[in-house]
Amino acid sequence: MTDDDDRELLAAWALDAVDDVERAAVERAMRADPALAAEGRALRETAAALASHASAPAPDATRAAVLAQIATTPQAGVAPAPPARADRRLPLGRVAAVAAAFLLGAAVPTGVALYQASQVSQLERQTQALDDALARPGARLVQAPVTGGGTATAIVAEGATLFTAQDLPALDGRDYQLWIVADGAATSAGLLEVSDGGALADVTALAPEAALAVTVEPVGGSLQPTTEPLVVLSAG
Amino acid sequence: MTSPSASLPRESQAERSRRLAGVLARVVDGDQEAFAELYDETSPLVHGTALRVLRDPDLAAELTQDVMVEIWRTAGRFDPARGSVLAWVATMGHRRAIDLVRSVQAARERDTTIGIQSYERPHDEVAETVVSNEERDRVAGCLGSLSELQREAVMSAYYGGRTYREVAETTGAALPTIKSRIRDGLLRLRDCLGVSS
Repeated sequence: MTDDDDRELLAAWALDAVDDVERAAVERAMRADPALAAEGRALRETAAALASHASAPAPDATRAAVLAQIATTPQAGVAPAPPARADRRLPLGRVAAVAAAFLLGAAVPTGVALYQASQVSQLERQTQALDDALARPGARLVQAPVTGGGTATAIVAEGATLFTAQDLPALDGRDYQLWIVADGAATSAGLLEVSDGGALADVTALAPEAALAVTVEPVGGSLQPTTEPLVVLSAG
Repeated sequence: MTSPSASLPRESQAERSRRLAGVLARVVDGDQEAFAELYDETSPLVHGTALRVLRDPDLAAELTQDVMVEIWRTAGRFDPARGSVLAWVATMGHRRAIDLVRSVQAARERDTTIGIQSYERPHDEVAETVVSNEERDRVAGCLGSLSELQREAVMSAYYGGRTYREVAETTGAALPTIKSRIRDGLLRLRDCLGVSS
């Protein structure tokens, strides 16, 4: 996706009118481009004005229920301890959180106090995306070991597929590339941004007979796979 | 307890924004009275949006409850560098409503293979208690400055909970056209409202 595409989609993003893949792309672009981020913030404020415009008081019973509930609900800390390091055999629920933490490590500048809060909300959003994917109708988890080390997992759901990997060995001078394989043809789904052995990628809806594959490619990736797949996850 | 200064007619957007940030800071300290104040000012926007998107009063009330409790729980994570308190709350509420409506759509499409349009009703059928205030009038005025097509695209996306692709399908217009309408419309709204970037 080019910068122009990201800018083009910024308004739709501010209105939550993009799919999960586009949202991730726009938010990545915003992290990399402060001017784009500023424009995105202004458009979000504008969207909030649309929410204000729709204002309608909730029933009194809701107010009473909320105030009663918060009286016994503990508040989350500002900067909770990072999720535990991935164990090779992750319980299913942890896969999401850990994958999200890996992605975070790759995407957000570290050591800047100001970014702490946004890191946490970013983590929440990513975890939410994975949780949501798992909660979708027909969602299922496909997992397989990666040749050379690590585990690849795909959450295949109605309308969206999320790919995560853990414990991938670092590559020197080469990249991991993700492919969608269907009808004997491979289409690139992008390079895997590996951080601390983990990677997470949004993949658009996979056809039922399609598969995801990971290969090792020269830096920057290839148009077609040039090596044998390290792992193949079948959607069907 | 002092009466909320929101009722003062001449409070500017910037003043309100700063005041709400102050209220939220007290919420972070666990101040339940401050939270009640925050609830009174922000829950109508969450509830109103949920009503528009979900078109179901029971679901909207339930979602409002969940979101407001979540606001209490995660208040410490609000980051003023990323926007105002109102935008934070509005975003959380709208996102939840969208997630809910899209998961319901996915379930319906799978179970019945009936498309989106067959169970949709016009937004105006929703019975709403409208809060009339200056902000509302201002937004209404600015929406009026959009072209008909821009307004339709922006409102269909935000209040209809549609992706721009779904807006394109609904209107029969090409994708790039809809993207432009949404973008030009929201930019014009931003400029009219005087939102600075």
